[in-house]
This record gives sequence, C-alpha cells and structure tokens, in this order.
Amino acid sequence: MLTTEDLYTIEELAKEKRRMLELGMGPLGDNLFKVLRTLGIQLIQIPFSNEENESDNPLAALYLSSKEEDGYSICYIGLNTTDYWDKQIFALAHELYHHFESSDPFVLCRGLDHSSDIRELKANRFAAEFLLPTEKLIHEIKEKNRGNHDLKGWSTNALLRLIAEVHCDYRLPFKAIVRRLLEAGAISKATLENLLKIDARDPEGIYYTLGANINLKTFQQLNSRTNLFGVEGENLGKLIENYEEGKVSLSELSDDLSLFGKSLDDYKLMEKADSEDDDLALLFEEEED
Amino acid sequence: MKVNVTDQNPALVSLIHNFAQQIPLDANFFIPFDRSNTVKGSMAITFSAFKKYWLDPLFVTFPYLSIHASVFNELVSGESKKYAENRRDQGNLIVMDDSEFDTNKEVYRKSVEKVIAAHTAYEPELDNADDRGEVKSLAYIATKPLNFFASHDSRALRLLESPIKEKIGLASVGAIEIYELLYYLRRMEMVEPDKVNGLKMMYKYLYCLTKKEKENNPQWGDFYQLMDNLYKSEIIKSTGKPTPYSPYN
Repeated sequence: MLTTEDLYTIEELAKEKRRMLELGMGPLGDNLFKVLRTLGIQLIQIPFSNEENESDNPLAALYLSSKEEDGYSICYIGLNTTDYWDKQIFALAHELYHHFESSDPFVLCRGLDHSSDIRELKANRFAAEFLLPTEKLIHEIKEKNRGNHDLKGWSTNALLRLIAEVHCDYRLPFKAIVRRLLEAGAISKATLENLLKIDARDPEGIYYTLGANINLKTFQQLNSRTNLFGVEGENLGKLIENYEEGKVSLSELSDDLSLFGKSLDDYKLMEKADSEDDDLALLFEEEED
Repeated sequence: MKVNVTDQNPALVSLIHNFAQQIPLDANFFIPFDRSNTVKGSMAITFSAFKKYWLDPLFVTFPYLSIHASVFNELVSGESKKYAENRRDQGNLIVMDDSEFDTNKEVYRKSVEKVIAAHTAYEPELDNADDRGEVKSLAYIATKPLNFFASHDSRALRLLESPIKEKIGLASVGAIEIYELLYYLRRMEMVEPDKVNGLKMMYKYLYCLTKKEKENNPQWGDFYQLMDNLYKSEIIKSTGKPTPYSPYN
C-alpha cells in the first residue's frame, strides 16, 4: 500500500510534469503520444501475446534507457498492442513514471492490474494522476453533482454514465476511474467492489451500452485492441536519415524497415531496374547439379 | 554501390602481385545477391548461377580464401552453408578461429574488437548478432595481421573506407570489393569462355541495374577498360599470377 506521503509526492510529480510539458489540467488522451515525442522517448509498438494463456500475458510495456559514453541517452518504451487501447494509454503513462523516477535502465512491466510491487503501485498511481488529475476529477464530479463531490446515493446506472463520460474524455480505463472515485472520496469501498464486478468490456453489458451511447466511436476505440506493430513515422524517419547520411546502405535500410513491417516503397525509396531482366536471365535460372 | 575506376586500390595491387595471400571473406560473399527488396523489377540470383559465375571461379583462383568461424555460423541459408562446408571439408576454405591465438594475442584481439565494435551495432559483452561477423573478422585480421577484408555492401566496408580506420587498429587492412574481383577474374581469364558473360551479368546486376547507377558507374566494357588503365601495368609486371583457365588444364 502507498503511504499518504507517497500519494502526495506522486500527485505533485504529476502536476509538475504537466506544468513542465504545458499540458494544463484538461484531458490528455491520445496527446500522450505527443508527450512521448516531446520527451524524446522512442515508442515501439509490439503485438505480443501469450497464445496459450491470454490472461498470463508476459508484457504490458517496458521502459528501456541507454546512456551513451558522451552523456547522450536514448529512451524507449515498448508497448504491447494486444491490450485494449485505454489500457495501452494507461501503460504508456505508467512507463512515463519509470522514465521520470527510475535510475534503472530497464523496467519490464507485466500486467498492471495486479502488481503489488511498491514501485509498480506508484507508477500506476502516477498514470492515473497524470491522465486524470485529482482536482480535475473532483471538478468533474461537482459539475454533475451540484457542487457536491460525494456520489453516495447515486444509482449504479447514474454512476456508470458518469464513469463512461470520464472514460471517453480522459481515456482512463474503467477500473482505474472507479478506483480514482474511491481515492477522491466520492464513493464507498462497497460501491467500488460492486462496480468492479461489472464486466466493462462486455459489448452486451450495461456499461458498454451506456458508454457507446455517449461517444460510440471513441468508446469502441478504447475497447479495441490495436495490434499495431512498428514505431511512429518520426522514428522511422531517423532510419532514413541514417541512409541519406551514408551511415547505412539501401539494403540495410530495407532490412531495418522490414523489422517494423515497412518497405522502401512506403517511403518512395525503391529504385527501379532500368532494363528488362532478359539481359540478366541466366542469373535467375535454376540449374540441376 | 559506387565503382571506383579512378584510384588504384593498394589492396588489389597487393593481390595482383601475389594472389596466394589469405583473403578473409564476409558472409555476403556466400549468399546469392538479391536486390529485389531495393530495386523494383529485379529478382534474386539463383544459387546455381551464383555458384557457377561467382563462387566457383573465386575458389578456382584464390588458394587461401578464409572465413571467420562466427561468419561461418551465420550462414543459415541451406545452400550457402552446404557450399561453405564442402569447401572447408575439401581444404579450400580456411576457417579463422579466435582460439588460435595465445594469451597475449587474445588480449590484443579483444581490445581491438572492443574498439571496432564501438563503431558498430555489436556489443562484445552482449555478443549480439548485429555486425558480429564483421567485427570479429576485422579483429582477427588486425591481430593476425592479414592484409585484406573482402566484403560487399556492409558496415565493415564503410569502416575500412573511413578515416577512423587508422585509429581502430585497421590501418594496414585494405577492403576488396566484388567489382575488383570480377575484374581480376576476367583479366586473369579465370573462367571458361562460356562463363565470361556471367561475370558481366554479375557486374551489371550489382552496379548498373538502375538508371542512377548507369549514370554513376561505367558499363562493363568501359569498366574493364578503365580498370585496365589502373591495373594493367601492375598485372604485366606481376610474377604471382593464378593459372588461367585452359581447356587443357
């Protein structure tokens, strides 16, 4: 369990980083990707699943940093894209904590939900705070509750509608929002336990129906697995720069791009043979020994 | 790849003077050239053509071709590996192994390997696969010491052609490229007449396949002439020549 001091420190850290990055206090959502770019963190997306047992997925995300001899450091976040989109966003914010606090050059994070490691608990708390600052959450509750931040007495249906709105706006997963409501003192522990029993991903379930009616496109996206593979275009641009500067050859660039499911053709770098292969036909013929 | 027909390569001159020198080869010498992933409309060379027009003439010509053990282990393509294994078993291919060195030499080799690796993606402590073969080959060559490294389109070539080669223990190591060996094989008449066209095709495939390459590199006939301008005088005065192909030998 985190101490009151831990919680205070993390809240202040999240505020400080939001200030430093000029993010204000509003929803971050997909802008988190822009934050990574601003911080110079290279994002690698990997669809990585344990085919035998999906619930025992060995990876949610990982953080890796490498300090070069000249003091220049390169930081990476590897993100498992077989997770739902909202969990991916949460995992990215979680890894940001490791980026900010960790002197450890390598941090591997498995499932983020059940970790009891104190550092992981802190990273989870930071992720929740960074994506949805406490004071902003309380503001959202008061807006819906005539200035009162105590939601006791609200029906489950009304609570779920509020959670779904926050879910769509702040891109925080359902369970994380429910926990945040408890932390903000808006709901009781019993209510939290009841809410956590709901299967929020069930397309036929009450929560999904309510969420889909708030913002269908966003809600569906948050509940989908992207399975993306590769790195962002900006990072691949660095590979191309290496080729243009003569650091790697075209065939090496082609090999590097193929690691990310891309080809030279995607960047209009493929050259074209200037004559028919008939001139070279003998090179392509199979011969019996 | 750019063909240099304006400056003599001291490594090739040395080879012309004495063909019976040890020539360490990179893995890409054994793997059929394939430009299909970089040039639209091109195909990979088949192993049978690669063997006939490239590997076999190379082995007929040079008695001390060699390959570092780590490069040998990187040959995963069945046909390339089998070919290299056969050549090794027949005594035509030397496998260079770091275990040959005594303690002092091994200390030196390791230090050179570390310095070379700093300019590549290979990390000796991790022993990762990236650039391992090239780094280990170059470290072996510098320790032995040998005169050449023959490679194609790799980081090793760029290292040997860069100014830092002096600083990383490779000052006396020369790079030999495929076009230089194609010229040598043709000039020394090391292929049967019906395979001469194969050398030309190999040259065209590697250096004159695209419009841009045709603008930058000479066609085979001009290439041969320009290389002759650079090396013929060395060839004439050389006494150490391989035995040319003859229907009677």
